[in-house]
Amino acid sequence: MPRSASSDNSAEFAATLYERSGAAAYGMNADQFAAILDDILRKYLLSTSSANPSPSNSSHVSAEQKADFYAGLRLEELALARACAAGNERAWQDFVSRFRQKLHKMALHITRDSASAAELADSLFADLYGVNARDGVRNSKLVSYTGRGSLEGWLRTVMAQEFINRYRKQKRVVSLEEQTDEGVQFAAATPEPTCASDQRIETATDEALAELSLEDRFTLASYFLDGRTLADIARTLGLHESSVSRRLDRLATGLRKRILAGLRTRGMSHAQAEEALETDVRDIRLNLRSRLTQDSGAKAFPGSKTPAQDTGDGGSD
Amino acid sequence: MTEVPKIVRDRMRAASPERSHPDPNLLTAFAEQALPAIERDGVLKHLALCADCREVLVLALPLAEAVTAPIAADAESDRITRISKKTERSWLTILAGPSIRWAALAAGVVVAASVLLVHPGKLNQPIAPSENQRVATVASTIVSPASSSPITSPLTGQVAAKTIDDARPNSGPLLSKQLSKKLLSKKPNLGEKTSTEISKEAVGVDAAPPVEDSQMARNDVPVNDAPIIEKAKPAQQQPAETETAGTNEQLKNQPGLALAEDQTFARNVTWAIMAGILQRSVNNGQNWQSALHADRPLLCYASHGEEVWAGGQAGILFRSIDDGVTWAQLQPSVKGQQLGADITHIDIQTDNIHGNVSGPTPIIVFTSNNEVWTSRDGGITWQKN
Repeated sequence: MPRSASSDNSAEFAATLYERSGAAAYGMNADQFAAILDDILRKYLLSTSSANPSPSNSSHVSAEQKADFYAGLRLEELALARACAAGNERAWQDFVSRFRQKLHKMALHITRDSASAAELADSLFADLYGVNARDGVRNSKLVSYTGRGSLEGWLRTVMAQEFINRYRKQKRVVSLEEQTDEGVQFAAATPEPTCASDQRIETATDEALAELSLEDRFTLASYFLDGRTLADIARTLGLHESSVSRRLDRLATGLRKRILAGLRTRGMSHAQAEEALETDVRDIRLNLRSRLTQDSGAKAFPGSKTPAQDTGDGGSD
Repeated sequence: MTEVPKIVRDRMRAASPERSHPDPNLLTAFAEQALPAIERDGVLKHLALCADCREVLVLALPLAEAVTAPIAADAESDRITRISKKTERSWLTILAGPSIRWAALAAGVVVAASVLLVHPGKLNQPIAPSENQRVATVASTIVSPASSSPITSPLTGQVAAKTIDDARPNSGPLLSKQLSKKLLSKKPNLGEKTSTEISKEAVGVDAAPPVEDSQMARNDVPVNDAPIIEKAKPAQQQPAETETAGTNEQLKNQPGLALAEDQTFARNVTWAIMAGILQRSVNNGQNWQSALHADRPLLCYASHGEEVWAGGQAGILFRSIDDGVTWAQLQPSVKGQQLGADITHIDIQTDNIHGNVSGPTPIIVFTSNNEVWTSRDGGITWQKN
């Protein structure tokens, strides 16, 4: 009777998970908790093992895969979050005692401003509690916590998303008049970045980028596009700063070589390829004002301000 | 940092993510290095193209005071070790450099000569023993009953021991080692390497011809008749050696060496748990090293002074009373029932007003199944609520 033995093991395993979670303390029974776990399993494991996840596919996942997946879940925090979402009083007490203060610290860490931090934390707390009821049922954000990472980390992520959304909203509603009142000077609209004159450069660059590993590309984008520090990137990837630094150097050097090689295969000579990369006007970083005035012994127009003075650095971009 | 061509930035910026954004659970698990390879690659693929999610990820990194860098612990500890050794070496290199050594000897010879010229009759007068003399006296006393060699060096133990060895080859290096060991035990903070280098340095000084000349010059009385201790006393008559002894003592008492180690472990220590490993920073979170890697993931910690507690899955509990240098694993149990649930929080009950504790520090351990375990004797006995 292998089928029966298998189901016995499964039931035993489910009971173990239920016990480990401590869900009983929050009035959650084993079936409810098993249903939650099943939902999470379907959401993640089946979506990666099958293109069309459905409840019927859950049988295709081996017991070992399930066990591994469940072992990686934060069961006790999952039970706490789901119990809070279900409105269990004791769970809320625990949640508040464990995370209320941390939420404010997180908000301060993200916003760097105590007033905004208080607002952000309170807002998130309201979402977590589920102030907005739908059909008479509280809609708590904690329902979406699945225990894949720590509850604290999840709260930070949700808060960061909320902060970015708020920031964008606020940025969107600031009127031009307000900005003008605040003394904001409006520069001329930035022209759309002009495409490289030679399509071969773009193609060679795209190919070189496509050859990078995902982590390399993430590292490049974080550093060169987002302006993240080595420390931030290192923390994100679980590496040491010096490793990230070496990797970036290697990537920058390697990319350049690959692009040059790609350009040569497209009919450019080495000198032409170098020139194509170097003479891109967007790469020119010159202080035009200093270049223009460095050799002049006396000012051409002493006492007067040249209109081009404020745009003397404009050659950098 | 090597720059990339602008076209690379433009092409990266032009790329857009193909899929919808990963949910906060996946981003959190990614940041905590808790995703399996397949899912991690999927998230990375999105992150490489999505600036918004990268921003969320960075904003959601743990608080600065809690964790600054989840680092490759081994590399970091190696780096710290290298820095420590480098510091030692740099101090020793500076102080033991040949130019300074010979300059000190030359200055010493000059002073010794002037002392001999000005006060030729006061060579063997007892003077108030300095710390160096006391150390040398101890060294001499140990071997003095059988010694007939002209031991006149008031150097620190190592030099004295070397002098004894030179004079009494039969006593062999064992005696020297014993002496060095005994004398060096005064400063346990110095590493073995430092001690060795100090000994070498001392030997080099002792073998220097000017010192021997100086010793001969002022010991023209029959040395066999004089008590060994008296011969070892007049430190001021051996300025060259005193200078060297001062250098050695300076090394032994070198605040930079001993204090650096003390500071490393006693000051500015910050703790954090990343990926189930307890991390320690000794420079306010700028760099991190692995302090405790248990067989099961650690979930929480608490620290007060040099006392650190760490708890994790399935009831694993550790305690350190020396800032994480050594750890003891505890297995709390009450009436045969062991703590087996995940430890989610540890509280060290300190005096809230002064930050001090009165008597043994009560420890409260909270578990995932809502048990509360308390110990008031450093984890020896427990109560369960």
